[in-house]
Amino acid sequence: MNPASPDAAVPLWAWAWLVLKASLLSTSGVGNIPSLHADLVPTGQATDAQFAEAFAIGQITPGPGGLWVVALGVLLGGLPAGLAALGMICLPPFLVLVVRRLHERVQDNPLVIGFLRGLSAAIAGVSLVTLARLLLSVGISPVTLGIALGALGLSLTRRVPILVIFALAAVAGLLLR
Amino acid sequence: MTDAELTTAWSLCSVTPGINQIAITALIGQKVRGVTGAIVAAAGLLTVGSIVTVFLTLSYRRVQSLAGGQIEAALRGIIPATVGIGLLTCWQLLRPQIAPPKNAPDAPVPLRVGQIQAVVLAVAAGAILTFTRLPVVVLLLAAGCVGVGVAWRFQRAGKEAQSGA
Repeated sequence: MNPASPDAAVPLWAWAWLVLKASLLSTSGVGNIPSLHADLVPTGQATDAQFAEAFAIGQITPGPGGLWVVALGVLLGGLPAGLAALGMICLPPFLVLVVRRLHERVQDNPLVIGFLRGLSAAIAGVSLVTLARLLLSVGISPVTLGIALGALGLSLTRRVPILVIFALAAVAGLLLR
Repeated sequence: MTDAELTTAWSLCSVTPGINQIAITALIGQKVRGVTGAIVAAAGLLTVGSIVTVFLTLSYRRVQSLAGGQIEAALRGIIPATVGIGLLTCWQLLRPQIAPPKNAPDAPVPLRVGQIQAVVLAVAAGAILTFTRLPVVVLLLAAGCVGVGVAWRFQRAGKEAQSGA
């Protein structure tokens, strides 16, 4: 796989395992970002820029936003890694077929709901740290903060397509460099 | 599928890891044609998106090598935008616990307790990730266990109150 640094290559099977592990402990398509970021960036196997690029691609392509990890796989290791990621993100959701058989016991079980609530809160917390690190990678300045807040504001309106938001941000980056 | 079945399906997806859209699609497919239907439905959901994602990413890699300086400049705008949109995702994760909608199903703990739990766990998880080397997986599992413990505590208190009454 193409690593961020040549000495930090991760085998395809290891990449697949990291994606599966992260997806098993996520509650949404992007809930696996903190786990993968923590596994890949400190070891130089991926960069913050690659995560941002993959996330952006995942948001603007049709289908679930969780396909961002397929884009990350392609960035890191080409088509084989992308396909491996696709396979791995498909497996955890199919557990719903098992959950369905147990649904009367699981669906409203307070302890299961309690686990998911704790998990979701922690994912939000570690996601904030990951986002802060992403922002630090391009430097915190009035310009980058303004773009981040602007993107947040536009997405809150739910009227501006994400593709347009990223296009505006890219233009801002080009104009303000 | 009836509205009730769809609502139940979404509830099941909320307790299943991974991408909820794949899970709901698999459930709908299973209802139509069993496990085969589940697989075919998920494949239908993902095929076009995956092809476009792969094609776009490969194209981006090619363009990146030809126009490196401009791509880098564009990224200086895209990365902060990613952060901004990511903040919305974080809020969407916390909102069911901090500001649940009026028609939300009953939570296992009182609202105020849930709000405090959510904020404490989010801050603690972020702090532990920042200042320690604890693996994220362990951190997330531990937070889930805290959620179980708190829910169990209130479930037990509720049963004791009922048996006392």
